Amino acid sequence: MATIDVRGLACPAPLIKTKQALDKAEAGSTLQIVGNGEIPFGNLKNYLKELGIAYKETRVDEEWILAFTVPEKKKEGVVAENFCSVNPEAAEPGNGTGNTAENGTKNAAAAKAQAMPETRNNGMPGINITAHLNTPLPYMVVIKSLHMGQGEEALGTLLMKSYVNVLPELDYLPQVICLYNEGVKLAIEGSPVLESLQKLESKGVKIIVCGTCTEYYKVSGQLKVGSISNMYHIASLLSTMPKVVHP
Amino acid sequence: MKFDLLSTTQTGGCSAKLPAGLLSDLLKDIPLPKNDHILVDIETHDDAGVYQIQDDLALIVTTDFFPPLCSDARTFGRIAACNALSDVYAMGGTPLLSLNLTLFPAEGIPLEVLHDILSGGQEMVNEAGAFTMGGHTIVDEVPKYGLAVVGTVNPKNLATNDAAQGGDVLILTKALGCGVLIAAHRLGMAEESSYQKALAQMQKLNRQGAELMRKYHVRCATDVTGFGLAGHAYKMAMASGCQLHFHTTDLPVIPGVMELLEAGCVPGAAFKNLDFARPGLQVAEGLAVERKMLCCDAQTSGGLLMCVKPDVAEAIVAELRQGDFPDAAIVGSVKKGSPSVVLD
Repeated sequence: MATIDVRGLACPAPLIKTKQALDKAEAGSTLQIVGNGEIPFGNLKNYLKELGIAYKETRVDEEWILAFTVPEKKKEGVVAENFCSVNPEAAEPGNGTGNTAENGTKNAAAAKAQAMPETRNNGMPGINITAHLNTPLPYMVVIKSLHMGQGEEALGTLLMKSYVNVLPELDYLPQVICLYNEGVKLAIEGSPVLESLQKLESKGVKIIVCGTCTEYYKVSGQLKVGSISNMYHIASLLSTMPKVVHP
Repeated sequence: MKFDLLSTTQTGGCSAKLPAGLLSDLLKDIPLPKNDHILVDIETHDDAGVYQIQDDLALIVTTDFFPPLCSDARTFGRIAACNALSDVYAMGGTPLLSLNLTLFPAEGIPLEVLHDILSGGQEMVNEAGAFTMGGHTIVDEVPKYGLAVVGTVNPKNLATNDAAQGGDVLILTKALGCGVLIAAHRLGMAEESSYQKALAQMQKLNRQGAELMRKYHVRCATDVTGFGLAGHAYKMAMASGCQLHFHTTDLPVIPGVMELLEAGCVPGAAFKNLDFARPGLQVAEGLAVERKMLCCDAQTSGGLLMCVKPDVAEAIVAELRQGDFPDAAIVGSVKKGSPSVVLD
């Protein structure tokens, strides 16, 4: 899932950034737009409606997130309303499994049926917004050491190994796993959780590795998963993700 | 360094209007007394009020003012004045008197900027052949400028928005897309030539349109401003009790605007206008979102939308094109039916 940050942007810039991302993204992939301010929120929702895209909205204090599945690229003569059948379930954060055209259609029908009582509220047939407000927040997992919790080091190591190995089995996957300080060593050759991290990455979880840290520990050349990033990126993720988990 | 007026506000020009629906809701319970001399009042949401004082003479009164929509003070003054004068032309009349309505901060912006705004406005009033009788200046953080205008019209030449008839042909005199270009310019996305065209067009008085309406006995018109083509057309459809049918591919558009809309450069005012027009809006299946949003784009000092008889439509467009309005075009037709705006 790709995240587009439109916080602090005045209209119509958030719409433009969203459209750029939509044009670039592959059909069926999930996009989420993180922003703030009521005017961009309203305008962007209206814009997505006009584009026939069903979205899921989440609010965290002043900030909001609109998540949706990228529709098939528009073809000549296709009615925009056809795209309303995008399945809002597929836009769940953490559902990185993607959806095939077949199950997308099936789920869309189900979502539509489920959404029927809601149509009066939001005027958008087939889109059920309110029912999805209770889903978990998109989140980032920060791993900063090889141990989980404080106490006996051997226990901590065991716990961390088991935590990362269990992550791919969760219903709601994190959007980002951020590794810094000694945590970067989990991403290198010989790590006991390498396979799990690779699995997570293949499911669409973004794995961010602190570049300064890999250099400090002299393991840059041994990285087997994730992508190197800088403090600006890490700091901005820490300050913008709706939820940050520190195991 | 020149002061950049755009730095004072996020919503300039007619896009700063309060949403139309909001306004009509709250005005509902403020009854307005009337007399027989009032030919046009707020009831039909027309461009201006008209009050008859003699058999062959009626006064047109109107006002319009808004925050800056461009950087240059003189240009802003010219556009604001042109936009205010336009309502008189939209009623088929001629501007006679004007008053400056000015809001300007006591500090923070050099006073020369105020001078240039007023000077630009005066240029436009002069061009219209009207007379500035004074004005009023109030201290306010964000500058705003416009005019209150009195115009005259012979009632037999009056053009209102409630006189559209089935079979009429729709003419639009200026290209659409000013709102999109103003927004795009702020983001550095607008082609300079397109933006300059928008600025130039907003400084073009609708005088020739009014002259041609008198010449060809056109009785129904409005100017397309903050509510966008769809919004003003909807007001016309409701006032006249008929259906306005637009062929969106025939709409004149400033170059580059469709590409900007496609890129997502849709100003917030367009969504407000879409909300306003939505109850009466019928959009053809498969019509591109960009075309629909173009019809909702808030125009500042936009062109006239005229309903003319089919036998004179081509002659009017030909004269407009040879004159001040090279983009003028036939853009649709009026049909009998419940008040609605059809876009295809």
